[in-house]
Amino acid sequence: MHATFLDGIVQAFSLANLSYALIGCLLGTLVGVLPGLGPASAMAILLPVSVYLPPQGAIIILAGIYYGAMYGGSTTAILMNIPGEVASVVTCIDGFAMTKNGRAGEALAIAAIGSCIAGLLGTAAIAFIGPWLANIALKFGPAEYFGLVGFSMVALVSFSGDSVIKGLTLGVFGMWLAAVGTDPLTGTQRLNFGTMELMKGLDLVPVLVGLFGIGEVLSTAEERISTLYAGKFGSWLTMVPRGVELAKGLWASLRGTAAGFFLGLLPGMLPALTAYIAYDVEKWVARDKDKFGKGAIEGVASPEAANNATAMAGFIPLFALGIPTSPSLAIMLGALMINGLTPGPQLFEQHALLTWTVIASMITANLMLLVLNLPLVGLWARISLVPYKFLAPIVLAICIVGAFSPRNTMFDVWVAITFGIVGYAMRKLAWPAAPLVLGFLLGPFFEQSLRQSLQLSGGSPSGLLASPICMSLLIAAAAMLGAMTYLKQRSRMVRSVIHDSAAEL
Amino acid sequence: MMGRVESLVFMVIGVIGVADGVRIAAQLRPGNINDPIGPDRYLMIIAALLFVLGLVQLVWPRRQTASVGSSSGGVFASGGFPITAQLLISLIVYAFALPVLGYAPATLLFFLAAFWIMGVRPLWVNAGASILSAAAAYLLFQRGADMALPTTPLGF
Repeated sequence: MHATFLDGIVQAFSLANLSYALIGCLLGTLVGVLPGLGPASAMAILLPVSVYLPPQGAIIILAGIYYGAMYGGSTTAILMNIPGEVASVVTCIDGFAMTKNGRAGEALAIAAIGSCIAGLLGTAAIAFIGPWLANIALKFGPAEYFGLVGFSMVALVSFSGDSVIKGLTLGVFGMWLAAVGTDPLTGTQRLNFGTMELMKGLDLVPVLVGLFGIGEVLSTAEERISTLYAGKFGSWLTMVPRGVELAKGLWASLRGTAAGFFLGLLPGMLPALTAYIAYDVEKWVARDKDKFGKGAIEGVASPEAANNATAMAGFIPLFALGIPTSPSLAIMLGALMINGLTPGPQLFEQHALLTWTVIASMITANLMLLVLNLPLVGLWARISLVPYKFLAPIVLAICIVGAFSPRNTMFDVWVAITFGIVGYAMRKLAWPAAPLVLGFLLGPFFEQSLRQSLQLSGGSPSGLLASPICMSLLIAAAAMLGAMTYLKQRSRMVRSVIHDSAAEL
Repeated sequence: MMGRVESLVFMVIGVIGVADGVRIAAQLRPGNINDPIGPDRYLMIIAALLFVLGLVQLVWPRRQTASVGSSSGGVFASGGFPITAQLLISLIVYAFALPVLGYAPATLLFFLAAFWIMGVRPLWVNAGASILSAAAAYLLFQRGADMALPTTPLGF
């Protein structure tokens, strides 16, 4: 029997799946309100849990953390001018201004409503576009996959950090790391230097736990997080905006959703980046541009909708093509792989019920988040003040257990600590993590598709060039790389937006 | 200066990859016509590319931009490096202690050190937080989740 979206909805409303969604949403909101801990870090730290949970449970929890963090990040941005997430930095501008004007409740409400609208529309889009795209991708051969992986890696490199060379270097370094261990096609040992531990290659979990978890804690530990202003909270009765303000907020949410969703389909378009773009779109379409920065409701609704829409949109290339568009989704790809699922066109065929359950659970999770973020907003605001001096050692201890547990080896603990140092250095030197992670995750697919394509064409590159899809993707990749290199050099705005969004982990 | 160090690191990693690729090429039997690139040439290509990218940055270093943490609207004020170094050392000692002392004692010692480094004072608050955190971790991971964490002959 072929499962459908309706079967997924039925499954999503089971007690177990509702519980997974609730746990994910709670953890995500927690991560969102706590400065110094991003969604990718939290997902990486909890990735080992995937081993102990049923596949759909693990994916629902991790997905809940991802978009829950987008919701939670806005709470502290609005109330205290502290962006819990980099994606919420832009929300601070008008959100905090609204708080200072005594309209904190309205700002929180429109941020939650905007995020919910984006989440629900995004889920509907995944349900429609995902299977369609997967159906097209079923016709892909090695050459097309080579083009697709190449395009994704180049696109992500183009948008990451302020230097294309840095992005390329890290992407290639990720591929170098992925080459460690036994070559799957011939069984040849590469880069293991005679050690038994490296024969299986570097395990995904300790690499990600180190890079995102340990690296982030080490980096944040030396920063003093201070509350700049604890604004007026507003009355419960006046929380939801009314009349013209509500209409303005809803229209801005829809514009933000559209901008965030379509841009979010591109690899490298992180929620932080699209939130900035959505904010600029609002300023561009507004008649009174001077109100921005002084508490414009559109300045809160649109970026919040955009960052959530981007988070949702990324699931389409992930599920349908097996291509993650951000570090968080790369970790999600890792979780799917740990559970023996191969994301890509076959996912909708071979694991239809699981896929539809995960997609349907996005609806329940987004509704849960709306509830969690409005009535419980005071609680989240208080939790955000938990001192980091208590949090950091606990997170580090969890990272060590997380690195050890999947393979029960101390070698992986050392790998995690090593990558923790690498992650710390990358943060300090403003080297983007996304190309390294994508290179590490997609490196084997890149190598396999390249070698298989050349095998099929007898060693001639004509096999790659003969495929119109592969050629189109490679040309698009080259064009994007050229355009972004030009824009990064010429446009201060583009440079600034990409630099600021590079902190999103 | 830091930019040059990073460039040199990537160049060295590139050289290691090329050298390993050459080693594999020497070991592989000739005439592997079904796999024109093979595991050796693929490794050599990406390692050589890494070397070239490192060299490009060495020759044309870019001006370093501010660290990402400082981009969050001035929310974070910069601190000092020693806290990170101390935390890292405590983490390394923890990793060495785990197989020797077992999970629970090593974790307790790690929490005592890490909370102290993070500035949890006075000592009784530090000790209380460490004991509670270590007990919670033991109950959650070793008892609750039944993870095969390193143990002492005493069983904890």
